[in-house]
Amino acid sequence: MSLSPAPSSTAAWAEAARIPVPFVYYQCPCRNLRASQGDVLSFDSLTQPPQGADILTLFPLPRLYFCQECARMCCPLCVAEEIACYYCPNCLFEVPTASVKAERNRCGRNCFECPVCENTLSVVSMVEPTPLAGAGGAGPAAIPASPGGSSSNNTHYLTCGACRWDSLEVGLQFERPTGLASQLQPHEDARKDAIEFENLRQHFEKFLKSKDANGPTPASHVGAGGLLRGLSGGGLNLPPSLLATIPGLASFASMSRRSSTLRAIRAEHKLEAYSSSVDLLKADDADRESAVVLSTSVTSLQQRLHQPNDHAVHKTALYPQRIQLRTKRSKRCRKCDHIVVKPEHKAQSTRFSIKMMASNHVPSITLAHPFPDKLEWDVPVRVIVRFTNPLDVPIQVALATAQSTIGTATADRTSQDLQNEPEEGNCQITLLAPNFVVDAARDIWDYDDDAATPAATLPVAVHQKARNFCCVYVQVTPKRPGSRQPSSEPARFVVETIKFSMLVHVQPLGHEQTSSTEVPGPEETAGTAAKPDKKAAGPLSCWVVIGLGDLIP
Amino acid sequence: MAATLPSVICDDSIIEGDIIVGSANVVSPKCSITVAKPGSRIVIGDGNVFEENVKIVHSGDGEMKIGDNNIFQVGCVFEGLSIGSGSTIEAGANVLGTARIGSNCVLGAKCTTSTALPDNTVVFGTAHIRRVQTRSNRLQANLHARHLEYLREVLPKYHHMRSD
Ligand SMILES: [Zn+2]
Ligand SMILES: [Zn+2]
Ligand SMILES: [Zn+2]
Ligand SMILES: [Zn+2]
Repeated sequence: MSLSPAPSSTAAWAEAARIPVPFVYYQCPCRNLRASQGDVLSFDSLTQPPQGADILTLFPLPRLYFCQECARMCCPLCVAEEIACYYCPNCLFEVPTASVKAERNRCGRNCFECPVCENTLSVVSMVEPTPLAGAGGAGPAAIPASPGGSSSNNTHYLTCGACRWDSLEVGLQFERPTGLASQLQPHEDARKDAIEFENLRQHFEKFLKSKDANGPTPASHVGAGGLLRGLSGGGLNLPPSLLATIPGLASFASMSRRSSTLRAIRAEHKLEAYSSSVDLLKADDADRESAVVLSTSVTSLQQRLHQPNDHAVHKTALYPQRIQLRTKRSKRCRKCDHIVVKPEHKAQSTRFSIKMMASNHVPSITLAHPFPDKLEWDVPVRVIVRFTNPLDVPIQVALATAQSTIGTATADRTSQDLQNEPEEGNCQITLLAPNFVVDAARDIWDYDDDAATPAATLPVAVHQKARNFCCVYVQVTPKRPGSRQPSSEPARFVVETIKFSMLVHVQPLGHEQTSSTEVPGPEETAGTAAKPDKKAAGPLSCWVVIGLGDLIP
Repeated sequence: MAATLPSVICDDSIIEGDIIVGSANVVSPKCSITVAKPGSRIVIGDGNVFEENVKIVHSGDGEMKIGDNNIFQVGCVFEGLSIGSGSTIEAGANVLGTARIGSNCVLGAKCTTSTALPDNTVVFGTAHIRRVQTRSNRLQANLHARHLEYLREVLPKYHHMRSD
């Protein structure tokens, strides 16, 4: 997905989004999916290396998912998210979807965060336990006194362990130590801003109801929410309660209905004027000004943003906020709608019932030691790239660069042409080992400690081969891009990130081709048969961008 | 009640130099309280808790004064001029050379100060923000008394104590 035209030079690429070096980023194939509008991802559609704006389609391997149906990687941009459950991060209570909206996306039990420093507040009781009563059970008659006293006239308040704020500072105390949010509810409803909001809502609702009664929505009008209106009002006739269970959707649907109604009837009726019944915060403008001048009693921007209903200016108006709910989400492949990630429903559980991560299906590519001592313009260095195979079958890896995939066109180019070609990057790549095999992954105790293939028998340009990885050499020659515009470049301080893109094609091989090392024993084949979820996928190819380091042109 | 009790000082701690220790203090193992210069001294009041790996260093001249019922939490370093009563120096915090700490102050975990903290100051967070706390230290005093009581009882069960 190109959001903007590709920057024409590598310097612009470097400035557009700088990823800290060194890095190995994979390109999600969804860019090509969208470009071709086709269903088939062919090798041909991948021959364009990632360019400037494509930096947004590059992700490190751990952030990518894998769809088995499409046999492709999915990035966070091409999965659809659904909320699986809402829960409070503090008490881990799972909030039913239907009541999330009523509770305004915040915990409705006992969890509050500090208005000063955003820490979680704890509830303490005012009546102190009898001194030294329980110390080692030594205090004799003191024990029965404390619980009896606390139940009758004890009060509780919230306190912050980090900044020592407590709710007594704003005159807030509770009779019972549980259900604080519901104890606070009447108090919150009595706030000026809450009353004003409620009045406004009633005012508009009354108006909209009377308009709704006047006549049906004109069918010709199809607004942004036309589909939703059709769902709720027309053929399917979903009950409003069902819509209401989907937060956002309900308000969206009703909003679209209202807006269209509003437009249709605007000519006939004017909205009657609303007069505020609450004298709101206007009065204290002068007060506010003086507070700002004094500046020690004014809240910080952060604190104000955390108190959205009134954006308290005075520190004395800071008020404990209920803790915001978090969500667990399941993710689907946008192309085929199959689920790639599905968390377990319980809030306490950190497990997933489905979790298809790309790192379990795509070889992980890393830069291996020894790393070149330093990068210099026009000095070739050899970089070792390690391919680690997560599959339980060997894989055949084929590498290509932009130059080699363009084919014959590149062959008769002069060096001057290369410099004018923006996609070439700022270095020249020679793949010394374009084809090699990486052995299958096994359980860690199944590896022989000394099974690394001796250096003498290694294929050309393979640095090391052991277990389920293979390290190959890539020769990189940084090419100074500054020679292109010698006059304008030195004025700015630009750091060039030396990076190159590489097309990686992975072909899983069957078990019978486990040629090079040893024949798998019978118990091992049984083991692999027992986990069919890791079954060998088809061939897969993707662009990988490897960043080596920074150089000043 | 505390005034009559002797201090509990673990054998595995370093106490060097001219130091006057009040009553009912608790010095945990691996603590070090040192006076660098001859002629200088540290005067410690009553009921202070020095947790493990706390370093109290007096490298200047004259007297370093430590009040009553303070808590020095694990791994904090105190090199200041004085500290009042009922203050807490939280884990890993640093009080540098010229600082005076008032009473009922809290220096939050990993916070640093080189300037004076007036009474009731709280320093917290990564930005070392200061605010004034309104809470009376009455509740805290109660908690502190129980803390002391517990340590006095438990520490001698597991560590050798100094007899002097
Ligand atoms: Zn994608
Ligand atoms: Zn909660
Ligand atoms: Zn706080
Ligand atoms: Zn899919």
